[in-house]
Amino acid sequence: MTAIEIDGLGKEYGDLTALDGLDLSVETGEVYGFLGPNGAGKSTTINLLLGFLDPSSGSATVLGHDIERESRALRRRIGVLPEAFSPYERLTAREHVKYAADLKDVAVDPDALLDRVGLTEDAWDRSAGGFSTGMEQRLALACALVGDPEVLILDEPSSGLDPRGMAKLRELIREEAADGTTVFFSSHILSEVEAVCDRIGILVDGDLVAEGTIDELRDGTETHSPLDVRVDAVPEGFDLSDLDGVAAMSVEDSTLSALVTDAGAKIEVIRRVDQVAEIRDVISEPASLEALFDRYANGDSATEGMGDADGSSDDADGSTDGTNTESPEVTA
Amino acid sequence: MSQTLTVARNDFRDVRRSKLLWGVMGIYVAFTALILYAEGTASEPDLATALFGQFFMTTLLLPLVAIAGSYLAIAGERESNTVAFLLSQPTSRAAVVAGKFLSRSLLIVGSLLVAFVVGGIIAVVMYPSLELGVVGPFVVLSIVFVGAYVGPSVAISAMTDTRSRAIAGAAGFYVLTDVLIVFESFSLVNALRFLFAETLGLELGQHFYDFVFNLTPAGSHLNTMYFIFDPSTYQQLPALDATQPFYLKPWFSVVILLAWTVVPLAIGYWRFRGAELG
Repeated sequence: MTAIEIDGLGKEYGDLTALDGLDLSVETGEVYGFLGPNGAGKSTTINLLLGFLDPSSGSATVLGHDIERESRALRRRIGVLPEAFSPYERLTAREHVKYAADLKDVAVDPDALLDRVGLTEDAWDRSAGGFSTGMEQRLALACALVGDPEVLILDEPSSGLDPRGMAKLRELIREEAADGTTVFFSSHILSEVEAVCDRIGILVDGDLVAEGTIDELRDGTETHSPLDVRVDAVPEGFDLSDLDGVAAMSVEDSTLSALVTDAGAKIEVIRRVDQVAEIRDVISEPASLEALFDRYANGDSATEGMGDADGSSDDADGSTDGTNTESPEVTA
Repeated sequence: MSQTLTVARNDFRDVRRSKLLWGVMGIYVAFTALILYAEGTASEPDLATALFGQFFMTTLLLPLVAIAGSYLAIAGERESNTVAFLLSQPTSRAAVVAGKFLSRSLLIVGSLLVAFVVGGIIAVVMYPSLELGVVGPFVVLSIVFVGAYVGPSVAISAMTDTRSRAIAGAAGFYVLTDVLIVFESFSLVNALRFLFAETLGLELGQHFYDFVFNLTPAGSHLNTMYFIFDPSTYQQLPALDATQPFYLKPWFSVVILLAWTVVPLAIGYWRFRGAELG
């Protein structure tokens, strides 16, 4: 069963493309981390799912409800922590939870929920206007949990939370997931989603550039180490695509960046460059998911190549029966 | 329906804790007390005369109170993003508009009633009689008048996404439909007369200009004075022409006031329904 099915969803503002034909599906009971740098289109996607925005193209369903035609029925069955949640300044925490429950037409025990998200009891009857960002975020989470929703959509739930709040949030997400709740959770910080998500999708510039379990993504990146070679000048038309083990290449100023699928190919790259230019520096970065995400988040020019390369690594995984055993070329 | 009441209840709870709003509404209460007190110090105080003055004051001041109390109803939620909480729930946008109208109307009518209670106490102490035949219709017409400004204010609020646009819209509406109607020396009706008669040479007749006046909520409200006050007693009130068409009659003014309450709200809802948030 799919809880969220997004099919070619796009959103344009005039010339600006906020979301570019996104395809994505989240299975029931899954915790899905929707990762991407700020401005990548994560909130646009969520706002489209909630009916706050109208799609320019494509369609989507949540729990089988069409986002455009059945928005209210859809929202009745989900819990939402919206982007930049802002409480009513003159309503108390309890009143907020009660308000959400009344709008959803469900019974609620506000105290139990507020306690569960870790809002201290002395704050329950205080006006939310005096809350810190962390307290607001906990209140938002309590409101999202009203009515024990089947799907939780959390837009940057960790913003403003201190480390203890983050731990609490992770614990909550795990509890909800154990309970069978589907969690769709956006963030721009990898370590947050890594700890709780079954699957991660990375969104950059309105495009899903990578998707998979943490292990899949890690395997994908471990076979793709970035190699930067700084030279005096990169010759016009210099090309490495004929080299085995080089997935992508790009040039920026006097630095040539390559993505190497086989560590042994690194020296080959350096040799080739050495023939045509004077090498000033060689930077070989350790491959990691963080490096991958940093590259995406920084909008590195190598990203497109990496998206393609990712697909080929999945194939490689398949040929080794999908196990996590490292292939010989990688360790070479 | 229950969602409308939920929105109204929580909105009312939120705004009634706003001190600024109470300050604005205090102004209307203070003016009411002042007018009744001033007339009450006369040698033979007459409550109907005092209310005659109070009626003009109401035409001019009550819309300000209504606008101040409702222009942020929805635009304020969009500016502060509390609307994200509100619409993340299965809330219908119709319930938002209706609920906001309900709570803000209640708020303004509530402060109106406070003003009348204060006025009533002054009347009991200073005036020979509490003329319920005048006071009753006065209260009812004031409540109808409140709707004709809360409706458009909530509607403008539903059509705008920032505080500044909402206040610009509401202030513009007030000036156009009240200030530029009530004061004859610089009224829109006279400007129209100048445009059509003097510039274009069109003879449109007095009924046309009277109708334009009657079409505005402030003009309509003033026209309903005939329900309470007799032109033979109050010289400021022009005599009622028995042959005038229905659209100039006081009962039709009530229809216009009710239309001002409902029609802008419908337009506001229609715009809000299609609005993109965030």
